[in-house]
Amino acid sequence: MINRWVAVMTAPIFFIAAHCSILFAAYSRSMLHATEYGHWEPVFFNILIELALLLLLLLGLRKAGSKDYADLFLPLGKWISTALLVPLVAFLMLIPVLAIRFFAELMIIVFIASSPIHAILAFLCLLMLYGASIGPQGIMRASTLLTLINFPILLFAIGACIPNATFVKVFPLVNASMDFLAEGKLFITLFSICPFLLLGMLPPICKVKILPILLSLGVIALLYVIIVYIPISIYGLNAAKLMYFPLMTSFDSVNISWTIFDRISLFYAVALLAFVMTISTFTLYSSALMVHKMIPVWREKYIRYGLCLIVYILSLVIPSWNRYIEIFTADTWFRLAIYIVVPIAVFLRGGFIERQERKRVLSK
Amino acid sequence: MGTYVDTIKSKCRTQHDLKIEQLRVGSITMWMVGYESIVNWEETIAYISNCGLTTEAAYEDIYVHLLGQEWVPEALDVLLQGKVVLIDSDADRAFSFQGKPKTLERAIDKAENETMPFSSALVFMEPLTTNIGILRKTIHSPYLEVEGYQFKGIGTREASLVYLSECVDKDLLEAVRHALKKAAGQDLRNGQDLIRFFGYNRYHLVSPYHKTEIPGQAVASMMNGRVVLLIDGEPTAYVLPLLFSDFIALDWDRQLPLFVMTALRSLRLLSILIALMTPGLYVALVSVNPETLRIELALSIASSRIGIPLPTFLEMLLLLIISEIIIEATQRLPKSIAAANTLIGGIVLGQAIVDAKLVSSLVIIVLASSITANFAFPHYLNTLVVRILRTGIILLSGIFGIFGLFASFIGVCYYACSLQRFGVPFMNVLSPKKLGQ
Amino acid sequence: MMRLSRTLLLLFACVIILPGCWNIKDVNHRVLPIVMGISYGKVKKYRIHVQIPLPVSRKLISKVYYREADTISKALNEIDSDIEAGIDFMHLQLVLFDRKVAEEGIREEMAYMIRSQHMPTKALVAITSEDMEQILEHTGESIQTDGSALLDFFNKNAGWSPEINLAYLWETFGAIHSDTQDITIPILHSGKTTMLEFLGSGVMSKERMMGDITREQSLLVNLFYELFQGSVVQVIRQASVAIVDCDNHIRTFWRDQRPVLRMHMDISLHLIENNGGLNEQQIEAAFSEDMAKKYKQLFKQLQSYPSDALGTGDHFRNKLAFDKLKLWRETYYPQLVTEIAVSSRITNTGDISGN
Repeated sequence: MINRWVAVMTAPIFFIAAHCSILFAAYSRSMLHATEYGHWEPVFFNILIELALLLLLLLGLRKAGSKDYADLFLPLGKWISTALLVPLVAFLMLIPVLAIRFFAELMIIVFIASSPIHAILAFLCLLMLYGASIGPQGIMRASTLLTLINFPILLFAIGACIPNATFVKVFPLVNASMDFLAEGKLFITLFSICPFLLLGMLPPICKVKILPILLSLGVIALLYVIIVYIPISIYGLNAAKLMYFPLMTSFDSVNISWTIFDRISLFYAVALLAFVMTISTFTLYSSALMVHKMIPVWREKYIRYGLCLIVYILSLVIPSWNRYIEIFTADTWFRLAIYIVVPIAVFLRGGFIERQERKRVLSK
Repeated sequence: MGTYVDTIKSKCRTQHDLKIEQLRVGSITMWMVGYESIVNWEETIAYISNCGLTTEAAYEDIYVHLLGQEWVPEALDVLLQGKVVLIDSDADRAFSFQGKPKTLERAIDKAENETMPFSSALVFMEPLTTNIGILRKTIHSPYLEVEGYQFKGIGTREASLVYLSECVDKDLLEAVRHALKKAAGQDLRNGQDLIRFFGYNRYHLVSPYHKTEIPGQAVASMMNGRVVLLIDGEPTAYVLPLLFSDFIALDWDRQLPLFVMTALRSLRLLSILIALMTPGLYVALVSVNPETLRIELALSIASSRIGIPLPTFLEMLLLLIISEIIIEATQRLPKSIAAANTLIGGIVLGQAIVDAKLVSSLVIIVLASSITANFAFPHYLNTLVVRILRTGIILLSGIFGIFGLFASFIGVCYYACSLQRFGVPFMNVLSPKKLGQ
Repeated sequence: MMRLSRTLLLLFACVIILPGCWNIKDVNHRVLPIVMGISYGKVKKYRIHVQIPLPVSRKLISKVYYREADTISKALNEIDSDIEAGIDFMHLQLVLFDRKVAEEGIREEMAYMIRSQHMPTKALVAITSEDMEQILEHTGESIQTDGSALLDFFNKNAGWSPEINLAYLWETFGAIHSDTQDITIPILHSGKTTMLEFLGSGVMSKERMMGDITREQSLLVNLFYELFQGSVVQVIRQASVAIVDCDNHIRTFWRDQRPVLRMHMDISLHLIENNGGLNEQQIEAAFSEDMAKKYKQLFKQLQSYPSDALGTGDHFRNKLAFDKLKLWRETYYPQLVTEIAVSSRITNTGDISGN
């Protein structure tokens, strides 16, 4: 009974965990800056775009059977597959760089002000490397386990915020100007939908069924909205926009007298670490796998070490928090290109493979 | 004198218990050879004289009557299995037959290590056949299958793979069989050998098997699709593979109503967490992140720590090591002395160390609760893993505080999720495939 | 060989890691200030006081340190270097502003505290017109007997009484930046027999304190926000009633280009003393009328500052164009028409029905 449930839910749970890591990290700040008011509108657009791309990707994957990106694209020939896979790997590697750097910054601010950043990053990278080398099944088990433990903690933290929130501060709701569409501000916030790309690496590992994933997208959509509106309803729009870590600061305002812990942000940080680790380990694993499939001579283990070192160095190179935010903005177009090209390519390849398969069956 | 007897006699010089004696059987005088430490000499002779031989019986007659087997001096190891050899020294021929064994066993006893209230007193004993018999008695199932294996290195060891053919996980069975067959030429002395046979890294903290001395537990594991390895001379069954549920669940719990059982198991889960985390949590909260404590608590901890020279982190490690030493010291002592040792270690040392202001009293409280929690889940062998991991967690908590504590907890989760033995994940609950399906 | 090298590597890693206890500073080597006082200095811009409870053998003693400097952080830094242990501000519970500081504006001070990340945003803010040293010495005496005395004074489950307005750091920061809401900050004074005395509340308009309201009026503020627990006794023409519950319904709309706030408050009362010979209906009517009058007066006073301490602007957020919200406080709020209706009901007359 439990095992059947796990079989169906592994992919959706991973999907939620991957989203949580990004949503609870940088999303609310970025979204607060996307528009003047009526933040649910860009959030809604985000979800719609994600839904469309996700459906495209999932349909393509379903047609292709249990194949991941490398299996799908490599038969296309050296040049095309390189053109598709190398940017994808580069983009996937960007996720742990940004996620880990974000978490290290958060840790320095919240808990361990005097630790040098290189030590924290090294520790996080080692943990990520270890997590990535436990094999795909292990990563999925760990993702399920950590999500089941930490998701309730996050919900608790959110629930604890509610007494501090004033509902009327969310108004005005309707922003007819749609100012976020101008200047590509909406696209900057689109980094939050990147976990859908990871689903393309899942089919050889576990069952990816469309319906449960769509249902989990419903949960995620709810989280999207809640996360943006928590800082607004606690601090008010103007004050929330000033903050670099709006969620963190919101959780800090909670005063619960019956726990021995004085800070709810503790729970937030702990849960976030689990989610950040889940997404980073999986991206590290899958990029190493893709590189390995492109260049089978290199051993996967060493590719992983190499990639982890790259992540460490890149995240160490980011000197300041403002630079970090610039990088976030700068890779927007690259990111968009990946978002659009990869699902379409998967869809087309999937259709092609399905037709071939049918032909093969018929000719028999 | 024949060459056979010479060979044996030369052996006798280094094998004191190898006895060779002249004996008149039937019409001929023969040499009887055997290990008197294994074979009951008098009974064997009585057996020979009672087996209906006439005084005219020739070698062939004796051979047939005693159900003998052709023997050459090179096959000395059959003697180790309790056989006796009769040598006809004139003709230089010999045969072996089963001698009367000496009893080297104790009677079936009650559980030493896994006592549970209201449970059957029947436990596994040393001899292999006894254990298989106990298993057959426990379940009475035609599906109970027993496969024999022999490991022949410097010594010889018998082992049996037991499973229920209806329930067993086929892939698991195949993997175990394969590993055991491959290892037939090696010595099997201890758990480490077993881990080597199965091809697992010896640096793993968690062994691939679960040891139990209660037949009911072994049978319940088999019903869940696992296999049991019985090794001759070991009073325990090796259940393969170890699963996380062995840390919290016992077959014994099932006599309770479902809700009580769930509560009990949750309590054990909680006690694992407490055993693992509290010392680290204390170190993190007191020395790195006191801001997460409430002010009242922070001030009271601060006042209890006035004048204590050691940093919390060392204080905790020091006491942890002392307490581990006390546990280690008490477990091999006779019961009456162990009590005295506990008294000295626990009360005298604990009281004195606080009075001397070497450590704060809160550390003792935290440590005591952690160690008590350590023994709240089954069973002793499993606690060792938790005890080692706890030390690592304290170290990381000392460096990175709360962050280090939870990062190392995530690391532990990763480790638990990474374990996969014979294709069965340690965290089997989280795997899409149920064992035995 | 392989194993040996592995072991050596491990030991080497340990040696590297062990000096890495950058953060270890045990709690007894830290001092945890619980009150910070900010006032203007005589020589430099700020004079910062911190009050620190120090545990001494099962007892707490309270010490007050102060420094003058041009920035708060500089002053705190100097205090830190004077004290034998490190300062950890994460347990700060109360930030006291001198009245003069509050009147000149506390935007920079609040920004510092939120920015620094080393002060808890859930600390309380209060204003005092007393000499900072004096009031801290006074609270220090109470802290010595009970470490959490200060906390309990504001704790809703302990010593808080419903008329005390609470202003948290985060709330104040939000209100300073808000276009449509202001906050009231309690004004404290050292009590003659008690630890602290609550005098009333300072009314803020953005970052500046514009005036003050009395204790009774701050009760009205709390009632308006339905921040109400326990009971509070009110006297109406010799009868006294206790407010036990309060329900406030607010409707806002525009009428003739002017914002209108229609407020309907339901109050549940317990009759405690009835000396004037009025019957229950009369008491209820008198009480309602009295409350409505008080609210009218409060609104008038607040509108004159102009300070939207009751957060009425928040209720207009969905009825005003976004870019007009910035103008709320100056342009629209003074024109606010209030329609106040209070209905009260005596739910309980105690154990006896008449005198």
